[in-house]
Amino acid sequence: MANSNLPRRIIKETQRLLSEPAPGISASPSEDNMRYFNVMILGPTQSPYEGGVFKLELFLPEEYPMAAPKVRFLTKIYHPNIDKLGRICLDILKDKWSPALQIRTVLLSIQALLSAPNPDDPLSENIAKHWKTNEAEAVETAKEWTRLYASGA
Amino acid sequence: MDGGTSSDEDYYSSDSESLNGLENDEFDLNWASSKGPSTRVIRKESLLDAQKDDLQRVMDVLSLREHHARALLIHYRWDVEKLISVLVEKGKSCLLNIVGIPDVEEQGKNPSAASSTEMCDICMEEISGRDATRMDCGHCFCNNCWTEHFIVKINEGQSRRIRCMAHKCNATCDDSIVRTLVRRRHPDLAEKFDRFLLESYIEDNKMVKWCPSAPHCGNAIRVEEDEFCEVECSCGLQFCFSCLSEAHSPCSCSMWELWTKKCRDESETVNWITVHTKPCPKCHKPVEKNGGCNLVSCICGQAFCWLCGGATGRDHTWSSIAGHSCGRYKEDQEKKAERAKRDLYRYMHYHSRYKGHLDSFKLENKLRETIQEKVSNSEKKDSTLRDFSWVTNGLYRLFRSRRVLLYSYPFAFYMFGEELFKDEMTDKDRELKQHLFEDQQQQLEQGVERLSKFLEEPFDQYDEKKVMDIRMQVINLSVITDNLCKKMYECIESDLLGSLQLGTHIIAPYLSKGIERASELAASLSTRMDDSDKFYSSDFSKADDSGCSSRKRARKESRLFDLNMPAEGH
Repeated sequence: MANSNLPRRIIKETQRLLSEPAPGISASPSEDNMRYFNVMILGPTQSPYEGGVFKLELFLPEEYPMAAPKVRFLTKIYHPNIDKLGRICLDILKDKWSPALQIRTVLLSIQALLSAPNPDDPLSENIAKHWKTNEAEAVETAKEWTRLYASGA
Repeated sequence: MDGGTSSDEDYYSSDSESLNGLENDEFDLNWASSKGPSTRVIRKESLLDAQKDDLQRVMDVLSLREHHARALLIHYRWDVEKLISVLVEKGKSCLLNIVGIPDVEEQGKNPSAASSTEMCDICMEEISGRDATRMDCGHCFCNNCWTEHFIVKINEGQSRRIRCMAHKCNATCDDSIVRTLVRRRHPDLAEKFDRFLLESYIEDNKMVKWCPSAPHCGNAIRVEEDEFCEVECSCGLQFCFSCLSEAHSPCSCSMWELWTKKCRDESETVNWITVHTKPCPKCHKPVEKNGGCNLVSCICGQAFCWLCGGATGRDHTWSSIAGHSCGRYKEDQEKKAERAKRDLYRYMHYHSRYKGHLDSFKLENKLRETIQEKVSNSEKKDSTLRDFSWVTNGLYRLFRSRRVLLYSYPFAFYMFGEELFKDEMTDKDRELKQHLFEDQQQQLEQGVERLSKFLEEPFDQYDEKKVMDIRMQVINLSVITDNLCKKMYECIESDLLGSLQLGTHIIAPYLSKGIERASELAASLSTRMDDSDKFYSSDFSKADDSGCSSRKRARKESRLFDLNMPAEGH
């Protein structure tokens, strides 16, 4: 495996993720590929996702940290900036990526996105429309989905 | 016509200027000299000089370093006036903020000279101070990471604005640092970077455009004030600066685009076929009804009803087909057919005239060869007539006016048609304007045809008196057609396009002496050559195998009436 010449940066980031994890976030590298991380994010309190455990996958491409990590939700989630394949619409994962950002900061940003959905920059047109026309109902659906798919069973 | 006395007396009396023209033997100089050209050719070699002026101005006004001035200029698309107006309006610090230039220039001018070791926040390696670089914004990372970052950004096509690696830092990286670091690992990429920066002056600048010649001559053209103009590159190509297609005034760019498209896909023909024919229900060939009753029979033998298109038997009377009834006469279909027919005839009217002038233009282009011969024959003759500049001038005028005439037809097609300006004028208004325009067009047409006729005369075989007559006619007609062209442009600019409420159509101005040839940009406007200059010029001359070929077209020698042929419209 290419793990033998893993850049020092990745090793350091991994160590820190494991030794001092951010609250509500856990990320651990896969055993056979140190660039592939299994991630869990707890739904933030006071959000429709509260009580849910969301699984994500995170992959560090060859160019990392010059290129952004690739992150995707594995757990089904009802959110205007996340599509049905789990892809996330977040600026720092695209053109606003900076090599100074880290796995930790990316995951914290995703956690923040769960607290503050942004229906004006949607990835999922239908959900965003739902959010804008009837937010209460959309929130209910999100809660429902959290209960159905993210109850950590 | 006998070439001597003219029956069109009104030509002589109608225009007092024409007489002035006659008396003035030097009249050709009137249009050969005027103020210097306002367009410049920028060659690959002069590209650096071309942008130096703008850079220097901004550097002076804001006391900035070159890469900061460039970042600002790229942001404002090399529009110095715009940049200055923002400066006046919002102040320096706001302006600098937009592209992330630190207001205090002094900070970090000396990239961390400290030799102590530090950790780079990107790769998390311990590095000694001399292997790290601090940007103007104060962020310091190791050279390795900077290099990686630059390479990624250059390859992403973002050379013109490479941002600092720090999160949310808006600062543009110093291009001399980018150059130096990238060169160490990828000299080729460093050259590419330099070229991208240089070419920004063309690509991000609305007053500069690449010459559209193919194969590309490597030049760009800069205009000074008005982007709606027609220019000639030093490679000989004439084009409309605004839309980069052939010079097409007095047609506006959008009219010309519509026209060429229309001619290309012959949409009217297709239109006609769909409205005037119906597919045979058996063989599916389009069938046209050429008269008679509504029972149509296809050449394949199948009979069908023209009204509904359904197959029928052959027994019929004038008003009905045996065993077939398909309802009533459809009025809207009839109307549609009427309109399509009218539109087609209208298009054909304009297109045939356009095409006619295009053909004449091509034929007359051959004339210049034969006419040279006639001139040299005449010069050999023992005669008091020595000066034959009236011939070449006349020929030049003929080409010039023919072009105007040529493009005036597509113009009229759109100006007085329904496609573009349906709601701009009342029918009556339209009719009035159309008459006004067509009168002018007709006058010009007459002038041009007569000029053409006189120039075709075998004057080298005539006696002196007859030659003098022709000379007078040619000079006279040259002045007349020139004036008529001028008037037509004026009419279009002020009375026709000028009065539009909704759309804006701008045409290039009429220039009697023809499309101006862009002059060469002085090889070196700046005498000072600092280090970065050397960097540039040496890099740039090496980058020859790039996309824009440096091969120049052979310059044409005799340029006097080498007008470009307009493209075939279809």
